[in-house]
Amino acid sequence: MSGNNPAKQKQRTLARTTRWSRAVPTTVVSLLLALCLLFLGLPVASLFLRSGSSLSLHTISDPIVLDALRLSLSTAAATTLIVVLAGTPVSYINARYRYPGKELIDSLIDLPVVMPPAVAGIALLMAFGRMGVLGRHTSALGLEVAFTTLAVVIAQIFVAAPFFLRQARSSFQEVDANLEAAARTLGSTPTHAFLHVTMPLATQGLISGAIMTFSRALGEFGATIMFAGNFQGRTQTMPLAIYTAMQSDINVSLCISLLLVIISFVVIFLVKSLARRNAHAAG
Amino acid sequence: MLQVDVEKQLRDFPLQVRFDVAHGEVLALVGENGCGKSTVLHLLAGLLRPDSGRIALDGDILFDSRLGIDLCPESRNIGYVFQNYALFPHLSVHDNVAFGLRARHLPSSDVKSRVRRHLEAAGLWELRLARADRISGGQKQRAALARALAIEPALLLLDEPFSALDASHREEARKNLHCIIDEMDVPAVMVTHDWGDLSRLGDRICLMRQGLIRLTGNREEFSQMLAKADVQPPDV
Repeated sequence: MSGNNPAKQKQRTLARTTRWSRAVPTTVVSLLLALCLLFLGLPVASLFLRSGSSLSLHTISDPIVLDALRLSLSTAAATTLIVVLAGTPVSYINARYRYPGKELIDSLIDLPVVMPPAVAGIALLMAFGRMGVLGRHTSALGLEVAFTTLAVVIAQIFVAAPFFLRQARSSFQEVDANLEAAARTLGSTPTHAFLHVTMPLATQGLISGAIMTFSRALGEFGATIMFAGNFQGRTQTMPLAIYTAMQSDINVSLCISLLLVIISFVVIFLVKSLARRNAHAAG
Repeated sequence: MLQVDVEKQLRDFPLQVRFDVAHGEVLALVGENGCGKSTVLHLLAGLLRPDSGRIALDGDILFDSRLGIDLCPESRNIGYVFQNYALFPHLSVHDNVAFGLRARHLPSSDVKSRVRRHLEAAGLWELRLARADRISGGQKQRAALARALAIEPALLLLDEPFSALDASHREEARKNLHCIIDEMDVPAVMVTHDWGDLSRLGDRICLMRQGLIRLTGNREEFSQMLAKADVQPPDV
């Protein structure tokens, strides 16, 4: 009988084993993915579910929300502008040239990424505070930095600049130096070559770096509360307003959180579309 | 006439070269990888600075360490075809060829007519709107050459100009380049590994080793010297 054929039996066993050996990893991976989705998606979904009623016109027009929104957007925009203007040449130099102390500068650029935000806040206070290393001199001249809107921008620059500097540097490194050399031999000055060859080729990377910096600046909390304080309309950005409102009106807190999630989502969407465009252009 | 007598300390050895190249003549630099051939082209183009010496082109001094003269690359009017062609990938074939003319702020009517002339001569007019990174290897080679020629250079530098072409296209490209150099009547310096390039294009050949020119002569002399010195020609 064919059912007793040992070869066929062996084949059936092998097929069963293969089915199992395929099914088990698929199930495990599916479970892990579902868990991951639940873990990341549940808090965000809960925020939307719980804050449905909070996102009323009344809550959005609350002065705390409006002040925080205005301050956060304006300071994050100022931070991004300063970081892009000052960081682009610095990143280009770091990508193209060697100079004494470059390793140290590189490490310093990366430091704020690993430094706890509260430590960053204390460090900024020690530098620019009223009794700080530099702050005592600026105070003598009548320029107070700590606990002002300027301090919010400084704190944001400190923690968010590395995101742009790292991205911009790698974008410049990806531009073949021979292209700049070719431009020079064709009659370009270094500035012309930079503006017409290097910048256009690095633009996508620079824009994603700027968006990440804006996003990080928008979410800045620890360094800001330590160095700039928490004064509504002056230093109270959206993350600080969430923290403050939690103690009095959870609806306001939820409303600001929701606004931040929406802004963050738009930012991620922009970065991904840019990356896709970049990949498409490269392909 | 191009007159070169320069020295530069490289990482592993000092580079010391001295040669002249007449109008319409192609001087071919050959040698092992890392012997300093491409560095010589960079020194001539002003992309690297010699430690000492002199480079003169048609009586104009491009570099002279004693007189403290060192013209920047954009002031040397040298057409340079890079090994990987270095076409600007974000620009069209047309804009690549127009790049040097626009950098010189030529009137746009002049730019248009010169670009058209060079693109037609290179057989690329139909591809003028294509992005430079989306054309074939042979088309890239012709576009890079057209870009270098559009600025009407006083000297042509060619770094492995046919290395990215397959054998079937090489011979035609060599003939084309030979005609162009004859017609332009400018000195040309070519770096190559290919014996075919030497035998078809190299009016004079310099064999470099460790930064020094060890053998020099015309095609026939060079072959005889190689045989006498029992040295294999490069990449045969």
